[in-house]
Amino acid sequence: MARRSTVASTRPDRAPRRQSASRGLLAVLPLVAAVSGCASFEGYPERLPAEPMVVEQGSAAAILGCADETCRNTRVAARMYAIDTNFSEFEQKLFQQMREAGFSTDVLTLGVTSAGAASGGAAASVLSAIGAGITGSRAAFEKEVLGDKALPAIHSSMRANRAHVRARILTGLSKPLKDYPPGIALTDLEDYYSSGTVLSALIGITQRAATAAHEAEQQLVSISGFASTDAANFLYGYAVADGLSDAEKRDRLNRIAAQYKAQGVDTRGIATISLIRNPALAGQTAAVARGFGWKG
Amino acid sequence: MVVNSDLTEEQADQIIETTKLEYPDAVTAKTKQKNGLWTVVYRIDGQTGVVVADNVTEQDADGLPGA
Repeated sequence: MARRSTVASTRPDRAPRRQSASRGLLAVLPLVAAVSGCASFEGYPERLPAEPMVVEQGSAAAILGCADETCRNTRVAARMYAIDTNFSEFEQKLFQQMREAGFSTDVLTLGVTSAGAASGGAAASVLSAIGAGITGSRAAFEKEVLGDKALPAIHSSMRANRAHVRARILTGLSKPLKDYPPGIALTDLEDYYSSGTVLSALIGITQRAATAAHEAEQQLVSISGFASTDAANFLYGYAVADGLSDAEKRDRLNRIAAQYKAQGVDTRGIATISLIRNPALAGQTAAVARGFGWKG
Repeated sequence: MVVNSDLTEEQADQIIETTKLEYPDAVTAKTKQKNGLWTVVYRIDGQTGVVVADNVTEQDADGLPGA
C-alpha cells in the first residue's frame, strides 16, 4: 500500500500530497548537500558535447584524404578536440565513480551499524556483521580498482602522457605534409587517445617507479671486506679513543670524513667508519691517517 | 644506502656501532651470509630504497630494510 501511495503522489491530480512531499524533500536537501557535498564539489564543470560535424571532420577517412597542410591541420585538430571531449567525460566519470562509491558505502555502514547499536542482543551482532561486510567491500573496491591515493596519481599520469603526445602532434603539424603525412598524424592521434586510458597511466607510473628504482640503485654503495691495516686501525682508535664523549667522537669522525673528501673521495651517504674500513681506499686512508699524526 | 659485506660478526658490530655513533638516526641491519660472514646494510640522511642481498639466508634476510 505504501508503494502505491508513493506512485500516486507523483501525479498532478495529487497536488496537495506532492506539495507535502516536496516540503519534505526540501527539508532533507540541505542535509543531503551537507553530507554529499555541494555542486561545486563535483570537480568538473558542465560542458558541451562534441558536435557531430567535428567528429565527421576528424574521421580517419577525412584525415587520410588531405592533400595539403591546411586540410591536415584542421582535421587533425578536429579529431584531437573530439578525443579531448571524450577524455574529459571519461575523467569525470572516473572521479565520480570513486567518490560516489565511497559515499554510498559510508552511508550504508553508518545506517546499519547505528541500527545494530540501537537494537542490541543477537540482532545487533547480525547487523554489525553486515556493517563490517559493507565496510570490507569498500576496502576491497578501493584496493582492487583504484585506491584513494592512486586516483590522483592516475589522473596526473594520464594528463602527463597526453601532454607529451599532444606536443608531438603539434610539432608535426608545423611541418610540411611530406614530413608529417596524414598517416603518421593518424598514428599519433591513436597514441593520443591511448595515453588517456587508465592502462597507459599505470604503465607510466610503473615506468617512473622503475626509473626511481634505477636511480636508487645508482646511489647504492657496496663495500666488500674490512681493512685492518695499521692506518685504518690508527684512524679508528683516534676517532673512538677512550675517555672521549660521544660528541667528541662524532666531531673526530666528521673531521676524518672531511679529509677523505679532500682526497677526492665521494663521501655522500657513507658513514666515516665505512671509509676507514674500506679496503679499496687503502691509499687514501694512509694519507688521511698521516694527517692525524700516524707515523706509518 | 651502503652495503658492507664479507665481515666477521665483530667487524659488522663495529660498523654498526660507529655508524650509530656518528648518525644516531641511521637505519641499520645486520645479516648473516650463507658463507658464515656478515653483511651490514645502513642508510643515513633519510635515503630510501630496498636492498636485495645475494647469499643471504632467508631467515637473516628478514632483517634487511624493506624485506
